[in-house]
Amino acid sequence: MAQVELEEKIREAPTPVAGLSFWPWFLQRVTGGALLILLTLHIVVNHIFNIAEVEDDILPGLVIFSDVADRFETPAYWVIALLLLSFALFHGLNGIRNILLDYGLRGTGDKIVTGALLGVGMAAFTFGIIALAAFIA
Amino acid sequence: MYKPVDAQFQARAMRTGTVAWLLQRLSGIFLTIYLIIHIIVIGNSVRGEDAFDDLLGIFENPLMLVLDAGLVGVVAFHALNGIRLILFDLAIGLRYQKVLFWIAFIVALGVFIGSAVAVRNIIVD
Repeated sequence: MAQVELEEKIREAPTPVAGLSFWPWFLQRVTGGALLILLTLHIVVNHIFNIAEVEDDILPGLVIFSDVADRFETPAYWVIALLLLSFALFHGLNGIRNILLDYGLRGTGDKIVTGALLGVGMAAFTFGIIALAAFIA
Repeated sequence: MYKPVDAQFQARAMRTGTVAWLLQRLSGIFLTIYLIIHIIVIGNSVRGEDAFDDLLGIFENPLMLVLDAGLVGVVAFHALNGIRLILFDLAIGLRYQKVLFWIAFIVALGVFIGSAVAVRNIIVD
């Protein structure tokens, strides 16, 4: 009785994803670990430091165009910004796909969703680059 | 005989591991939506310095600053619980999964409180 129900539930469960399933899994973990370091830098340098500078009346506000532009004169900030933009977009959008795969998304549906998420990612990445470039224009 | 076998499929019985799984998922969806909004808001840099500073000034009211502290707390939880999940992938610490969840949760709560104190100083100023 219990065995029959168990077997039925196993049969109803989504089949594993065929093909390229290692790289999304692996990159989710690599970008996740990198984001922990990059986001800590981002929050501390861009926000915690600025809170102190606003308190000391060095800065007129918490997020100021000229302050961001000053920071981008240092090449390391470009590296951090570009890594943050690409890693965060990949990690977030691939995470959305992972959730949908858990609900049984496979085959054509998966291809459509993956294509759509890739499109959103590429568009947001391009927009992000244009936005960052505006600070040095 | 029936219960122990079937219990493997009772993901909706809210035990610690299920709560951790659900919070990771909800925080992940939330942070992805926030990321897109964040890119759009910062994208206002293309409208020039004055327009950018005017818009970003909106986010300096006390409510927004408290929400910022909450955001940092959510990021901290998602990151720390993410480390917990990477450890499980490496077959490390599975036996301590509940304790590891609570460590992630409490440290994230600490990060939230620390951030709230930081923004409080600005609000009180």
